[in-house]
Amino acid sequence: MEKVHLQSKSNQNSINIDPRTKIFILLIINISVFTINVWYILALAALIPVSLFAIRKNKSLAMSFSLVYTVSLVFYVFFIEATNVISIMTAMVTGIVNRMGPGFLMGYYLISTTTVSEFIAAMERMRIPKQIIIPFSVMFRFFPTIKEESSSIKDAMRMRGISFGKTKGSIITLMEYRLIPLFISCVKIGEELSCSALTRGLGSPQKRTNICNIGFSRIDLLYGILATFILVLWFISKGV
Amino acid sequence: MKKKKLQTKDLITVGVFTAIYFVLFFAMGMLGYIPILFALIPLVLPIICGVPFMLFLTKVDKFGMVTIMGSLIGILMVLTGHTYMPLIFGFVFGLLADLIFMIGKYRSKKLSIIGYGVFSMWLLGMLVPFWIMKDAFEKIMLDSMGIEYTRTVLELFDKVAWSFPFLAFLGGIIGAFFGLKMLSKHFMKAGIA
Amino acid sequence: MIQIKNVFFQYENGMGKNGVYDISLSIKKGEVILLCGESGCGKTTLTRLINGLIPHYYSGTYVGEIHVNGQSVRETSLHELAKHVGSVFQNPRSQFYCMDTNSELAFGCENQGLPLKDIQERINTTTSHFNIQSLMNRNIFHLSGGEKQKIACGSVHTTSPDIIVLDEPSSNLDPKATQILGDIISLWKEEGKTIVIAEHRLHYLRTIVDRLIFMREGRIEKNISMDEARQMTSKQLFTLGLRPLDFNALDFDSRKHNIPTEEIILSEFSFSYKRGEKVLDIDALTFPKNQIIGIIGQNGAGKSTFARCLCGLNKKFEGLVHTDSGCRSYKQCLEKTYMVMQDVNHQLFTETVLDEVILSMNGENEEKAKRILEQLNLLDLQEQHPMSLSGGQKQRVAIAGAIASERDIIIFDEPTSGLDLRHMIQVAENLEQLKSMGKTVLIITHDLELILKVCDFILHFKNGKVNQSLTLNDMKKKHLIKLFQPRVDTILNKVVIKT
Repeated sequence: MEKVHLQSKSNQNSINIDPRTKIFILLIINISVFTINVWYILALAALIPVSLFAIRKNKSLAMSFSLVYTVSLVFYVFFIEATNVISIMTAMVTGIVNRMGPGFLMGYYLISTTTVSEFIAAMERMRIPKQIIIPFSVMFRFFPTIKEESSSIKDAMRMRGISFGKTKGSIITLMEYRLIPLFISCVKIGEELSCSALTRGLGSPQKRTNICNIGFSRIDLLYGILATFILVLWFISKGV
Repeated sequence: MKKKKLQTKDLITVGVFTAIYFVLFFAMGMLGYIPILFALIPLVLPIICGVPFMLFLTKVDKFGMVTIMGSLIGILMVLTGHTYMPLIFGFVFGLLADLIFMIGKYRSKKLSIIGYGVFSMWLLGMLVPFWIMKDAFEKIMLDSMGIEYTRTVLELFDKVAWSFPFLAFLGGIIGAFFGLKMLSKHFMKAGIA
Repeated sequence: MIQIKNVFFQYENGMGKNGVYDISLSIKKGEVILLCGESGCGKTTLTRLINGLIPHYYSGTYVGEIHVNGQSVRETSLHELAKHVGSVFQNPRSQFYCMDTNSELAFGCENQGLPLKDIQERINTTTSHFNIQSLMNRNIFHLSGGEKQKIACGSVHTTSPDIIVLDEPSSNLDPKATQILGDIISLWKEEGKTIVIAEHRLHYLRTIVDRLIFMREGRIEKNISMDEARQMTSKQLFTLGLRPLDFNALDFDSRKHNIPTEEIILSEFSFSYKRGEKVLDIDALTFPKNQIIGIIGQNGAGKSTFARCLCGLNKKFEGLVHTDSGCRSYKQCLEKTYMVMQDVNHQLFTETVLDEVILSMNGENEEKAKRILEQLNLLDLQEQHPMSLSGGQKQRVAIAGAIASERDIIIFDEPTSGLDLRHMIQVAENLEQLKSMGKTVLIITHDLELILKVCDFILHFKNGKVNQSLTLNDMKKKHLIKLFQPRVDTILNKVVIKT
C-alpha cells in the first residue's frame, strides 16, 4: 500500500495536513454522501480531495477526477428527471459514482499521504486505546510482508511448473498450493515479530512517546471549516 | 498462567491475521466488480477467508480479539471509501461472533462454525449504500414506469437483497468447514495451529 | 550480572523445540559469552531464558532461578526487562516493527516513554556511532539484509541496555555485513555491556569473545576460555560444533584435478528490472557442464538476478542458454532449470513428502519417487507433512523434488546459511550426489568452507558482471580469503568509553 512507499521522505516542499484533520474530512464526506438530491453537497464533498491533490501538485489526478465527476453529476441531475429506461439506468450508475467517488478519493489521499507512524501518532494523540493501535500498526506493517511472501511462492509454483492446465487437481487444489504456504510463513514471521517487539518493551503500561511530528496549522483550520460547512449543509438538507 | 486480559502478543496476533484476512478479501473482492459475479460475493468471500479465520481462532482464547478484528476490518473499509457502514457492521458482528465463541469457551467446534457465519455478515455493511439508493429510485420509477413495473422490480430487488444475509451466513458456515479441514490437513501437522 | 541456578525448562507443546536441563551459569558484568553447539542443543532456549521470552512468551515447565541485573526474570515483566536486556535475532526480515528506519530506531525508547529530546539525541548518537546516516529516513523494506540487521542493532543501541543477547545474528549475512556486525559487538564490549551470543561461526568474533559455553542436548558440557579455544585445532573446534576460527587454517589443496567436460554457454544475459540500469550485464559466459559451480560476490552484485534469469523466472528476459541439447530461451529454462530457494518453505506445497516428490514428476510413478527418497534418506519420512520437518530435512525434500523433475540444471540459493558444520557437510554430500547423477549444480553462497569442499568452478560477480570465472584450483588462496574476510575500514566511530 502507498503508506509504505511514500513514507519517510518527509515532504518538505508540500503542505502537511495533520492526519486527524484528514480523518475528520473523510468521516464528513462519508456521512454527507447519504444525501439524495442535493447535488451541490456532493460537489463540495468532491472538491475537498480534488483540491488537496491539486495542492500536492498531483494535477493530472485532480483534473481527470474533476472531469469524470462533473460529467457524472451533470448526467445524474438531468437523467433523474427522465422517464425512459436507459436514462434511469444511467442515473443509477452515475448516482453510485457520485456517492462513492469523493469518499474513495479522500481515502486514497489519506492512505497515500500519511505514513503509518504519523497515523499512529495521530491515534495516540486522540487517545485511542492501544488495543486498537497495536493491531492497526502490525496490520500495515504486515501488508508488504504478505506481498513479498506471496510473490516468492508464486515464483516457486512457476518454477516447479504448477499451474492450472499442467498439474492434476482442481482449482481448489491450486488455491491450496498458493495459499497454505503463505499462511504458514506469515504465522512464523508473526511469531518472530512478536518476540522482537516484546523484547523492546511494547505493551508497557507507560504512556508512549512518538517522534513523529504532527500538529495543526492554518491549512487544517481552512479544511476543517470547509468540512464543517458541508456537514451543516447536510443537516439542513435533512431537516427540509 | 492463562491471563484473562488481552496481552500484547494477542494484539499482535490480531494484527497479523487481520492483515491476512483483509488482503485475501480485497484480492477476491476485486472480482466483484464484474457485474454478474457481484451476487456471488457474499457467498464466495467468506468461504475463502474461512481458512485464515479458523487458523486465527486456534490462537484466540479470550474475549476481545475477534471484536477488534471486526472493527479493524471495518476501519479499513472506511479508509478505502466504502462509507462508514462497514465500521458499524464490522464492530457489531465482530462482537456478536466474539460472544458466541466465548460461550463455547473458545473451544467448541460447533460454536466456532456458527460464530464465523455470524462474523461473515459484516460484509453486508458494504451493500447498505445500494439499499439507500433503492428508496430514491422507487419514487422515480413509480412516477415514470407505473405500479406494475415498479412492483416487479422492487420484489426482485428485495428477493436478491434479502438473500444476501443468508448467503453471507451460509458462506461463513461453508468457509468454517473448509477452514477446519485445512487445519487438520496442514496446519496442525505443520505445528502452527 | 547474570546468575542462572539449576534451571530446567521444557516447552509446553514440544514440537521440534528442545528444552534445557540443569543449567547453572554465572556471567560477570562486561563478559562476552559465546553459546555454541549443534542445532537443537538448547542455546536458543538459553537466550530466551535470559531475555525473558521464557516464561513470558513461551510457556512450559520452568524450574530454577535466573537473575539478571539483580532482577528475577520470572518475576519481572517483559517490558521491565527490556530496559536492561536488548535482543537481536537471526532473521533480519522479521525483526522490525516499524516501516521506516527512524521510527525503528526510536521504537524501544518510545515504548519506555522517554522524552522526545532524549530520544532524538540517542538516535543521533547511534547513527554516528554506527555510521548509518545514509540509512536514515528510508523504508526498511528496501534495505538489504545486512542493513536491516544494522538497524536492528541500532534499535537495541538506542535504549542502551546493560545486557545484550544475540541469537545467531550472522546467519543470513554476507561476509562484509558479518564483519560490520562484529564491529558493532566490539563497540558494545568497549561500552562495558554484558553480551551473550548463540552462534556457529566464530571467526568474526575471535577477538571479542571471552568465554565459550558448549551445549549438547540441553546441558552445558564445556565452559572454556577464549585463550584455550585459540589453541584448539579445527578438528577440536568441530567437536564443539564450531566453524574454524581462521580461514588460513582451511584446507585449500584437496580439490581433485578436473576432467574437462562439455560446456554451457550463456549469451546476451542482460537484464534490468524497470527502465533503469542493467542489474545484470553479461554478453557471454561459459561454464562447465556437470560440475558444481560456486557463485560468489557481495550482496547486490547480481547473483540472485542471474539465478532467476537462468531459471526462467524473469518474463522479459531475452538471454539464451546454449547446451548440447539445444538453445533455450527463458520459457525452456523454466522447464529445464530447478531452483532450491533460500526459504525452502516457499516451495513445499503438499501434504506428504511422497506427494511432494510426485508433484515434480511428469507422470506419477510412486516406485520411482520412493527410490529417490531412499537415496536421500527420507524414505521413513514419506508420510510426514513437509512443514513438520526440520530445516535440513525440508531442504532434502526440495532436492528430491529437483531429482524427480529430471531437469539438468539445479540452482541453490544460499543452501547453508545458518547451518552448523555437521549439516553443512550433509548438504555438501547431497550436492556431490547430484553431480554424480549428471546434473549441473550452481550454488550461490557466502560459505567459504562449502566452496572449498564441493566447488569445481567459481563465478565471481561484481556490479552485474562476472568479474572472474575460473576453476577453483586456479584461484589463489590469498585472493579467495580476501573475498570472504574483507577488511572493512573505519566502519564505526569509536565511542568514548564511559567512566
